[in-house]
Order: sequence, then C-alpha cells, then structure tokens
Amino acid sequence: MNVTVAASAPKRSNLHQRGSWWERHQRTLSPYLFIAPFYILFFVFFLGPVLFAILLSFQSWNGIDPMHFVGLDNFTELATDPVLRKTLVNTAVYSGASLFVISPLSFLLAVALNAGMVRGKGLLRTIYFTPIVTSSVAIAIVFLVLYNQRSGLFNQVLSALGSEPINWLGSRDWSKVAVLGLMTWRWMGFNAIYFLAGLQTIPVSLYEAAVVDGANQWQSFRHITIPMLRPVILFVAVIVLIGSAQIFEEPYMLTSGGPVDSSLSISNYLYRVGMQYLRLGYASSVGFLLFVIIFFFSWLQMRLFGVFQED
Amino acid sequence: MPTPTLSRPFLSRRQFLQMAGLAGGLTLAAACTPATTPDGQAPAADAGVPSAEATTITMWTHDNLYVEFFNSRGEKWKADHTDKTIEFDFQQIPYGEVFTKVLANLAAGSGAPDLVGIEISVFSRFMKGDIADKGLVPFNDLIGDEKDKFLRWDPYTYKGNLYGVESALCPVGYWYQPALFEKAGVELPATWEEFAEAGVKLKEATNATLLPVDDLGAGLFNMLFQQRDQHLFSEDGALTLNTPEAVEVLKFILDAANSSEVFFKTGADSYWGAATLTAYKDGAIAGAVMPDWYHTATLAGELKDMAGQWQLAKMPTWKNGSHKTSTWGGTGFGITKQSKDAPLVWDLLHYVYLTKEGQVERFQQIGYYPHMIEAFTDPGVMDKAFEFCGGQKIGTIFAEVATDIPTQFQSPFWEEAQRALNDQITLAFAGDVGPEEAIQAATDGIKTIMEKGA
Repeated sequence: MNVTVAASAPKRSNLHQRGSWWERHQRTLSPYLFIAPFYILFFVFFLGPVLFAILLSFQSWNGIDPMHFVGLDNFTELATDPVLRKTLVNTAVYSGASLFVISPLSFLLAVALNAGMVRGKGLLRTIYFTPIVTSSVAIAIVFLVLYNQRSGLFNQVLSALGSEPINWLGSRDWSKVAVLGLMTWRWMGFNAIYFLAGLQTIPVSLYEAAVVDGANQWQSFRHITIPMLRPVILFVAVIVLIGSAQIFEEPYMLTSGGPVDSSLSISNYLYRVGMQYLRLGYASSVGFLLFVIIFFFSWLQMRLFGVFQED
Repeated sequence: MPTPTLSRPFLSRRQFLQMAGLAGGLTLAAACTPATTPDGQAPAADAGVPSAEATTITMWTHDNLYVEFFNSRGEKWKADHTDKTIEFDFQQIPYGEVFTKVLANLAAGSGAPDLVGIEISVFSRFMKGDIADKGLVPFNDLIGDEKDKFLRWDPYTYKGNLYGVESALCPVGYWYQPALFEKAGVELPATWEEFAEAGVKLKEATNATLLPVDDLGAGLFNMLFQQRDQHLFSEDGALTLNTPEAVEVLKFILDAANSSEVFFKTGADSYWGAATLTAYKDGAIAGAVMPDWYHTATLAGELKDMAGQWQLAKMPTWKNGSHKTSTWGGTGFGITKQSKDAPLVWDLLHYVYLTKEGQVERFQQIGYYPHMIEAFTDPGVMDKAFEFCGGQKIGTIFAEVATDIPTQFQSPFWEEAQRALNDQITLAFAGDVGPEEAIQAATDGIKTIMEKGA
C-alpha cells in the first residue's frame, strides 16, 4: 500500500506540471475561489457604489442626462449651504440626545430589568423589541395623533396639569423634541436589550465578593457593573452614534423635516437634494461629509474608551 | 499507470467546472439579452406563439381614485379591442415613493410602467435637463387639433412638448355649511374683502371661522395669488413672484388668520388632518376654499356623517382684477418611452381621459371636474347631484367659472420654489417677518436655487 502511494506521488506531481492550466494552478487558486463570493458581493454592492458615489461628488448629474465634471464645486457649496448648516445642528442634537439621554435611559432600564425581583425578562425583551418591527406608517399615524396640538394625548395631559398646549409638530422650537420623543420610544428598549445581555454576563460571584468586602449597592454598581460593561457601553455608544447621525425615518414621518427645516436631518437633506431635486452630485458630497463626520466621531469614541490602547 | 479511481476526481472536477462555467455563461448571456430589440419594439412573435398573447398595460399613480376610474373605463375600452387580449396592472403607490421609483426606472432603462400619473407639483422633476424628452412620449402629434378642446396643458408642457394629460380641471370653490351662515344671518359675499368682514359676523354669532389655512404652507396663498392672474413663474420660466399682488394677498391672509382670526390655522394638520376634520364637525370651521378633489377625497370621503350639510358656492373674487376661480393640484398622465406599445397605451389614455364620455363619466364617478370645454355644459355634468352637498348639482356652479380658470406655468424649479415659499410663509404666520419681507426672502431664496442650475 505504502509502495503504491510512494509510486504514484511523483506521477501526480508530473501531472500537475504537465497538465492543463487549471490542474497546475488549482491548489493556489482554490482558496481564493472559496472566498470569492464575499469579495464579489463586497465589490459589487459596497465598494463599487462607494467609489461611484465619490466619483459622483465631483460631478453634476440628474440621473439620466450625461454627467458633467464640476471639480470641487459640490464641496465648496457644502461650506456655504445654509440648509446644510441647519441639518448639521439638528443632527448633532439628535446624536447628542441619543448618546447622553436615550442611551443612559436604556442603561437604567436594563439595570432595572436585571434586578432579581423582575420576572418574565424574555417577555419584556420581546416587548421592548416591538417598536423595531412595527410598521413605520403605523408609528407615524399613532404619533401624529399623540402630538396633535388640539386633541393629542400629550397636550391633554399638559392641559390637565394646567399647562398651555404645545405646538409639537408646527413649532420650530418643539419639532426636534417631538422627533426625539419618537426616537426614545423606538430605540430605548432596543438598546436596553444590549445592556441587559451585557449585565447577564457579569458573574454573580463578583457582587457576592463585594458584599463580603462591605461594598454597598452603589459601590458595586460603580466598581463592578460599569467596568464590566465597558465593551457593551462602547458598542452601544458607537451604534447609537452611527444610527442617530444617519437618522431619516423619524423626522421624515413626523414633520418632513419642518417647519422651516427645524427638524431636518442630514440624511433627510441628502434624500431631498438627491431624490427630489435630482442633484445627485451634490447629494453625494453631502453623503461624503456625513461619512467623514461619523468616521471621526466613531474614532473619537473608541479612542476615549481606550480601544486602541494596548493592555 | 494511475488507477481510474485516482484520475476520476480530476476529470470530474474539470468537467464540473466546465459545465458550471457554461451554465453560468449562458445564464449571464440570457440575463444581458435585452427584452426588446434595439429599436425599442417587442421581439417578433415566433410562428408557434399564439397571436392572442396577452398585452399588459401598466400604470403607477399615487391616487387610488385614478386606479378605480382607469379600471372601470378601461374595461369598456377593452370591448373595442376584442382582437387583442389586454390586461391591466394599475397600481397605487404612495405619493412619497412613486415619482422616485419612476425616475429610477427611467434611469435604469427598464421597469417603468406604460402610464404614469405625475402630480403637478412634482412634474418639475421631469423637467430637469432632458429627462422629460428622454423618458416621456410627447403628445403633440398624437393630440393634434384636439388640443384646443381642452384646458390645462400648460402644467405638463416643457420646451413646447406636451407630456401629460390632466386628470381634473381642479377649479376652486367655497365649500361651506349653510346652517352656520343661516344661524349668523350672514349672506355669502361676492368679494374677498366683504368675505373677511362677513367672517367677523359669523365668528361673533357662531364662533366659527370661515376656512382653514395651513400656516406652514403656501396652499391658500397660491390659490389666491393665481386668482389675481399672477404666477410663480412666467410662461418662459422666469421667476415672477415678487409683485405687489403677492404682498397684498399674503397680507390679506395673515390679517384674516392672525388679526381678525376668521381663518382657522391648521398647523401640522394641514387641510386633511384629524384636527381639521374635527373642527369641521364641531362647527369651528364653516367652510373651505378648495378645488373639486377636496370635496371627493376629504369632505365627502372623510366626513360621511356630515352628508347633506354642505354646499358649494363660487369662491370670492378680488375687487381689483380677478379670475372667477382659481386652481390647485392636478395630475398629468404621461406615457413612458419604455412602453412597448405606446400607440395602444395612448389609445387607452385617449379613451379614458380625452373623450367627452370619459370626462363626464369621470365627474360622475369620482367628482373630478372635466377639463374638456364642451363637457362643462353637458347634461351628465350639469345634472349630476352630489349627496354630500344635499343633492346640489355642483357642476352648475363650476360651469359658470370654469373657462375663467387661471393657468399654471411650470418650471424645473417649481418644487424647490414651493419649499422656499412655504418656509417664508411659515415665518410670516409666526410673525417673524412681514409680508413684504417674506415675499422678498422667498424670491431671493428661489433665485439662489435657480442660479445653481437644474
């Protein structure tokens, strides 16, 4: 048997050398063919469009007529566009509130859910996931009713408390607050699921040891929960930043970005300029700006959390 | 000598790769083969294919009433084409999506429907560059001399070509609740100036306002502005907003809404939101200056329990130069150049929308007033009684004013201009700017947008 194998080995080697091109190269190429599906999809559906968008940001194009090269004109316009400036401020408010209000609320909700006395965590997780899978149209209808200035529930409550009704959707001062209210309802429970998953991975023995050492609940929270959750907090912070910086649906559904662009996000503006005004070149430059902003702040977050530091 | 068991895997893999490559190549070639011949015609039927192969005519529109009417009238049209098997695929697609989808499919070179209903305020998207010319079939030769029988070609005309057939004349009237006016002892006045004064008496007596006004938009402003024979853009596309009439009209609206409070500010509810509809029911709003479609879609459509309590009157006019009516809205139906049988689709469109019978039937079925001049006085239009208006023959009211309806000139910047105007009118309602400043700022804003080019 051994003799047969030893005798056949040189022959196979010869076959490889003398055989067809495929036979000679298949061992080298096979691994690449196996990973090819990912790269083909990556190039066709991600890198290709990204490169095309970059190319487009130097063009003037309505989608059907031939493109015209305009150099840096689109980027120059970014610097002088007053509507874009408004959208940057609005988006910063959305992102800031998402990071510093909605995410901490999610965290507190998760801590409350993780308390020993709470039963039915699986059911609660499902309930908190519901807003994510609810139809945007249904959400819009419900929230438009809730925010109605004359008959909405929120203003009814305010009236009962003796307060003046608020023009939630028609006021430049309140429109962003209205959008943030919807964002909170939609994302708070969802983000809490991440925190809850993280909390459930912290060994109970750490808390038991802390109790033995005389730590109170706040000290356990401060010195065990927070440090152990740091990777989860970073993860949530990054996805919240990315998601809120690209926020589109909530302002689009509630206010269409109005009144007077007071609730318009960058993504809403990108859609308006690209899909309604058919200025695809300028829309690409807005998209490029959005990418740079998200990239920078994500990098900053990771740096602040010490992701790039060696242990 | 290699045994067969050693050599087979090599050969089989090779064969497999060859066969897979061949199959993939053929699939790719099939996918890349155009569905039509290079001249845009459908491939000739093979001898073995039955001649009665079904032709499907597709249509996308945002308004389900159009779908219903095209389906019902289209069935009659089919009866005249028994030599062919024709099927309809008419779809309602949400307003926010349909025009983007059409433009995306025109850009892609396939997938666009035969017929598309283009709402008047987004027709400007099709006027960017040469999109209309590349994407839509011009109707000039098809309509020929018949064109003069109809009104409302301007909103769908670009560079001399007609690209859309209007779906309603959209004349404006005053839809109102007579009981409230009777209770206040107020007669409906003829002019806007008198109308505002009557509103004060009405409010004192009943606490009702005359009409809703969207304080976040330019809807009412546009109607009253156009009634004064003014236009946002001239026929040649020049911006003509900044006129004394524009300031006067805006000042009139602001006074009525903010000072005397005889107009009901709707806020984000606009003219069709729940709070506005409730205000009609509660008697907080006595009427609405609105076009024909508002009666069908909003009043009769959403306030069914108020049937019989409303009437239509002519809209008030201006003392110093005025049309008898105005206009708002409309949808032009165009044929895309991707249509495989444009003459057949034109035949359908003509039958549904450009015959007197079609015009009358449309009014009777969905209440959208004809834009064919000889249909204005047709008994089918004049004698049609509407239940929501207590059996009133509203065709008789519109017939008195229809030929005096103002036109609407388009511009590739119409949509952008409307947004700039909406913003300034919002600020004016909030008291942040006066009417002159608002019109001036809107003009400046639109000019800046126009300078960037289409």
